[in-house]
Amino acid sequence: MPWVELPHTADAGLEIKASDAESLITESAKALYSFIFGEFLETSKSQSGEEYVVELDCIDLLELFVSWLNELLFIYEVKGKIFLPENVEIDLQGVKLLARGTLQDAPRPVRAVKAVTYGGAEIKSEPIWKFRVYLDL
Amino acid sequence: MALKRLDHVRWMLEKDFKAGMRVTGLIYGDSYIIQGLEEEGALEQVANVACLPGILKHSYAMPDIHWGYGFPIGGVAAFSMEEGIISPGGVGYDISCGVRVMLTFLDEDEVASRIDELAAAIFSKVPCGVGSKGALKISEAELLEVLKHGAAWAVKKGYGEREDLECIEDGGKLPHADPSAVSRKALERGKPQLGTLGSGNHFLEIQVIDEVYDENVARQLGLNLGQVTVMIHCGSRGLGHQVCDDYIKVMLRAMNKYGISVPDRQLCCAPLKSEEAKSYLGAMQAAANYGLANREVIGQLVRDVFSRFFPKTDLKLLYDVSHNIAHIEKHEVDGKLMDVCVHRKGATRAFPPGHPSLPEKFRQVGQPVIIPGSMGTESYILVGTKRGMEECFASTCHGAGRVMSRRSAMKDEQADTVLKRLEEKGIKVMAEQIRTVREEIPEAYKDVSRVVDVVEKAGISRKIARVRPLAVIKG
Repeated sequence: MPWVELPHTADAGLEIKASDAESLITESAKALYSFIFGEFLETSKSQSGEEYVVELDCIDLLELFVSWLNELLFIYEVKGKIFLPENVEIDLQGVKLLARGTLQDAPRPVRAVKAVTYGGAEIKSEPIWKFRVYLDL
Repeated sequence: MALKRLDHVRWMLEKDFKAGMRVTGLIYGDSYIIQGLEEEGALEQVANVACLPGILKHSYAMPDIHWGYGFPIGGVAAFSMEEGIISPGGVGYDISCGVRVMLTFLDEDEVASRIDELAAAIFSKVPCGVGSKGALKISEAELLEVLKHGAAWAVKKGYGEREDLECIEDGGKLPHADPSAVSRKALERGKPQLGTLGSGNHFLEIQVIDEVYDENVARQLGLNLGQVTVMIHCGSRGLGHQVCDDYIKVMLRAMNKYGISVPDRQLCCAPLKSEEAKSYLGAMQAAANYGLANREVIGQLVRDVFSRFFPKTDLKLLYDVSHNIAHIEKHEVDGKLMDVCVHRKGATRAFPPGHPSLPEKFRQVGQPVIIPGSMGTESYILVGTKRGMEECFASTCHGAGRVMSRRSAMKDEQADTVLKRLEEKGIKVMAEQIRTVREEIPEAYKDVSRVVDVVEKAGISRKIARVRPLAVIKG
């Protein structure tokens, strides 16, 4: 499993690893959805869903990764859907993200996440890409 | 030991604990509460807050302190309007998360025999749980009115009573709310959720007053031994979360612009005199108004249910107070009365008797303070004091404070028996998800009685009455 849950007194943390920035975006989404829905079902990819695009323009990579997960929370809360990214492009210089994919019906949640925070958040690219983040529950 | 003991309930975190601290930390707690704080991240967070520009007197932590994000939970900090800052991380995502107590004119015997059906009826009437949608269908124009007028909107629409407003902090409406500073995304999140409890540690309880500590003040507040009460704990839902997230982005950019650096990005902030701060204050007050309206609407839903069961009774609001908020207030600093911006993150305002901001009915006794305990344990009603006003910007604790992570609580053997144990104590529990009940086991929290004893011994607020739960409703 490329992610683990980190302990926190009131909330919870996630640490996600991947070989490159684009994979880390995809794995971060899976980690967040697994946390909320209990288990993330890869099979949901086979359903056809509405095409959707997420674009982000940030000041640095940490903001980009935190904003990405907050965007997924927004989509879930407002549309009741999960966003499955199929094509992810990151401009590391300009700190921009373009994720294309589809919206799928969300399973029944087992936990609520209010927000993805910057408290204790960290992004590293060496020796592998790693994103640590804490969730406000 | 990083902390220096000042007396039996006060501890000082010296400035040499961390480079950049502008003031010392002042932590309220007994040895039970202080034990274990150093292993957690909470002390570091008290120190981080002490590094913020324009902070006055101390970085405070109430006895329900625990590790949060940015500010610790239980954190209080006041900032100079001239040199100080405002930080969305000092308010939190759940803006105006707060608690209210409503008083019935029923005693325990009248309610106990019907508690199961009463709890079931409230559970079915008040939407709760993850992603729950409200019983109210409002237009975007109406949502903007909610953001502008808070609980007064709810009363105008028949969701509440006019006399409720003077029993709500700020009269139920923060005056400088600016709905135009609230993003479209926040409006989208807030529109379907008005009148919902949410999940996590939010709850609704039917309770009974089982101990009175000051009969004179209790009488003036309308509290009697054996009287049934209702407590509601919730906030501004997705709208508040989105406002916080939006303005963290604004503040991250503002810090570059104003040359501010902070030890934790969640503390990002802007000078109080800046346009960014004004915009955040307007949006935060709008979100707070949503939170106040949310609790007012839920209060009316509860009234509707009670009136079906007990047609001759009415529920009167004792008080409604937010514990995640920033206020501009007048305080004395170095002998001078000045406007300051007080951030309370998991902490409650507690104005003393005689404070000019209090409505006439509380002027003699002081502002009521509501301290919910953990699920199945007692909660407390207190009042503010002069010492709290002078020492810690009229602030006190907000609850019990967690000591065990949700994950550990789930694994704890006590979780398996929690429902049975509460039933044995005569407490009916209704929850949208059993997981929430397991995560919220009483053992996951500090002993609320010890937390409240600390603020009383410190003289920063005063116990008036204790309530114990008869039924608990959770998301």
